[in-house]
Amino acid sequence: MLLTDPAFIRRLESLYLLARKVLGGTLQADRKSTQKGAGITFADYSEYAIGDDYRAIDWRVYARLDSLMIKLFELEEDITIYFLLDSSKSMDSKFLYARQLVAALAYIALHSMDKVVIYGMAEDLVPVTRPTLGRAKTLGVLQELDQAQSFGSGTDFTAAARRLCQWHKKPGMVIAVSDFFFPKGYDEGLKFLEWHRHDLFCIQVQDTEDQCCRLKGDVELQCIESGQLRKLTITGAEARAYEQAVVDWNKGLRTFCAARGIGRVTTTTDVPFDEIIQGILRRGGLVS
Amino acid sequence: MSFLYPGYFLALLGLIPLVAVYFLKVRPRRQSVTAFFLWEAVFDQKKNTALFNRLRELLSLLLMALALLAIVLALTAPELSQDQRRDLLLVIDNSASMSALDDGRVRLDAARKIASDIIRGLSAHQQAALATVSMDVQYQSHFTTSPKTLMDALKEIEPSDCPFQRDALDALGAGAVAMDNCRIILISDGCDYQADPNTAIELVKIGAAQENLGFVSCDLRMLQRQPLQVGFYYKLASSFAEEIDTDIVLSYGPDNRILKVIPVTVKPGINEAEVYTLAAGGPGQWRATLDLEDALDKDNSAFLALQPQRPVRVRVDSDHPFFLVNSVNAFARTSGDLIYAPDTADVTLANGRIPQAERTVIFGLKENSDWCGQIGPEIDDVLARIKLDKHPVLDDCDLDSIPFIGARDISPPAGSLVIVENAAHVPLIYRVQDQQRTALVVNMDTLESEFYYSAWFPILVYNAARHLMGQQDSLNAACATGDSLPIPGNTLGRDSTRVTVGDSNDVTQLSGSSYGPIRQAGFHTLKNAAGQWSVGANLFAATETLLDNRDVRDTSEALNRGWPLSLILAMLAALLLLLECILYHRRKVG
Repeated sequence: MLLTDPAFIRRLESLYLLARKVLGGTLQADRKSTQKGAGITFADYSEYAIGDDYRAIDWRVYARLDSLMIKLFELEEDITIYFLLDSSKSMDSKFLYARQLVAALAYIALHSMDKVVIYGMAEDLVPVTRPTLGRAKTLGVLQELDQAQSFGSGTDFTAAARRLCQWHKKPGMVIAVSDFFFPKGYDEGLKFLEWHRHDLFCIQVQDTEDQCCRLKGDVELQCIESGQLRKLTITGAEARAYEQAVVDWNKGLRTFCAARGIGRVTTTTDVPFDEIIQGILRRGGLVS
Repeated sequence: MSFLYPGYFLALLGLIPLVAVYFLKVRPRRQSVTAFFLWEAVFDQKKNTALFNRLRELLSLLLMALALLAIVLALTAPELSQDQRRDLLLVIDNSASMSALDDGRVRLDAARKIASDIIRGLSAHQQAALATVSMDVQYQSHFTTSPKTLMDALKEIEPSDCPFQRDALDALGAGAVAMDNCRIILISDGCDYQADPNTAIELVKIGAAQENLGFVSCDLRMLQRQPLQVGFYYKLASSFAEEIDTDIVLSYGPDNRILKVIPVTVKPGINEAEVYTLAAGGPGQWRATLDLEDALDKDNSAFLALQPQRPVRVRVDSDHPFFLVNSVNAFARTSGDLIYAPDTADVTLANGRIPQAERTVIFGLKENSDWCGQIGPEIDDVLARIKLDKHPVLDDCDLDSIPFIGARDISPPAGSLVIVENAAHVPLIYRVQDQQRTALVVNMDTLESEFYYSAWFPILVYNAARHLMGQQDSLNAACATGDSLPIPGNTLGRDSTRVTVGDSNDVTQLSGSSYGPIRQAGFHTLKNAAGQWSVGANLFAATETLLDNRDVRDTSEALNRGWPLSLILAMLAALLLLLECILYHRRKVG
């Protein structure tokens, strides 16, 4: 299924409508600044002081209370959403699903007038799209996402995080879509992004082959990314140990994110992607 | 070690392709995984299996090579012993001593085990037969190559109550000379066995000398009726090294009521016989039991049957009745076996007269009657010759001391049983019988010969009276297993006799004049037209009781026993292949 397929775009449109209904149209509904400024959304009243913009004086209040009060408006910030799409070989079986998720979130963001940047992530960071703003760019983003390929011979999340921070000094929202099977770990990269005041959200995508071991007997295991080989005999005990290791790994990610207030959702490829997006929206957006 | 088919060693060439196949390593299927680092973590924790995994293929090769080697060796039929594979006659001693315990195990079971090992070790072409020996040899199976037939026969072997009879085995050994290409293997404890170099019997000895104590002889007699006195005769043997103090428990009746506990001290070896008199019990079944635990139980009990006999009532028909009456009264006063009863007599003692009684003892026959043919003059030759040896009328009598003076030349009626006669065949004592009456004629003049003064006179009266009543034919209280007994009241063997053993309801009908040989210990009851008698059959054999086989040597030569080496090797090969299958299964499906 192409990401530019009309049927797929109709599903994205439905998700955007849901986002408008639930979150008021913006994916960043809870990301409004606490600073008051020149917005259009009324926030509060305040006594007039010298230097204040007199255009903000509410004359109706002055007529009733004989006191000069000015209206305060919410200051709306320009938020950039960075997508880190795991494009390593380990994502081959889940790559389409991951791109569908990114496409859905990018669609909502672009229609909410948020700036979107999508990077492919493996042992390095490769741009998939340039920074994009406005709903008119949606189709272009989807086309570029459609043409994205997996690459590299490993995944280094820490290196990717460093590279992102080098390229983008301004904090934004970082959405990492990956199976999070990073041999070098995920914690250092997440900490680094958090240190640079990025808001983080992790979408962990795995398939049943990742979580369940159906291998038995003598096999030569090959790392799908590095090509490393190892001859093993897998018995029921080893299969169970591997499955437990996966459970422990995922539990570690969950615990890490919960401790640091990082939003996280885990899914498998047999769950329709729009169900996952609906779930995120109904929980209030990309929040922990 | 020798090999029956060494040509099969060529099959070891099969090792070459086997090794070749194993050196062509079969690459396992390659499988890409996403979380390779997690797999590494799992297997790094199991480093102890890493060495096994590395050596696994070598181990498989080793197992297959060993399996092939075992199969080839099995095909060559190796043998450890120098057994010439001749046919076998296995003779298992099932005599009473084989029921003894050796270190808690019954000797007969040990013999069965050895026999089964020998049967398992038979080659496919080797024939064997199975027999038991105690008092005689009994074949349990014919010569066969079928181990199952032999094993089935082996299971059927039961312990015997009879002692081991060397004669039976000697006969077998002598017969074995005619059995070409056959070995006779006797499996025995060797009690009462001595190897005869002239016979080809090989002894496989089982068991060692054990400590045991038991009866080797017993009897029970009514000594006196009024007042009651019963005499218990016993003889014990012991193989204990020291004197043993124990008790003999005498019990009586079907409920085994204890009448007496007799303390005894038993010396090593065969002890002197003892007689114990007691005033209790009566006719019926008695048991004497030794109160101790030893190697053999069978000789710790003795079965004794005291025969029910009423006194013989005797009257006298004579011109000189004094000595006759007194001879009867002498026994009436002591044992009570005879009673003088002039009115209701069973037996009539006559001297010179011919009474018309059913049973008569006649001294000094002087005129023609039904009990004689022609009576001639007195004879000069009165030197007695016994014609029927061991006739009960002559029990305890010294015939040479009985003067047959005044005897006449009598020709006895047809059908008479002459017991004593002179050189001219003139009967001196004979028994004659018509359809309803019986008479015992003593051909002498009692007055002239002064036989009344002889000590043998009352004994002859006593024997004659009891013989005519059939009481002398009665059985002893006890006999030994293996004995044959004359059937009372059926000396001519014309009547049938019903026999029951113990409490069993099984009845055996006998024809003939003797019962036996008796094989089973316990009470045997015989019933025929003349009456009913019981006898206790017991293991009375000192050789069985003493269990002494110290001087007996195992004379068996090389003999294959147990599972054939070929079969063990084949099983080993199967086991090795099974192990390899497990490894293969582990390789293929974990």
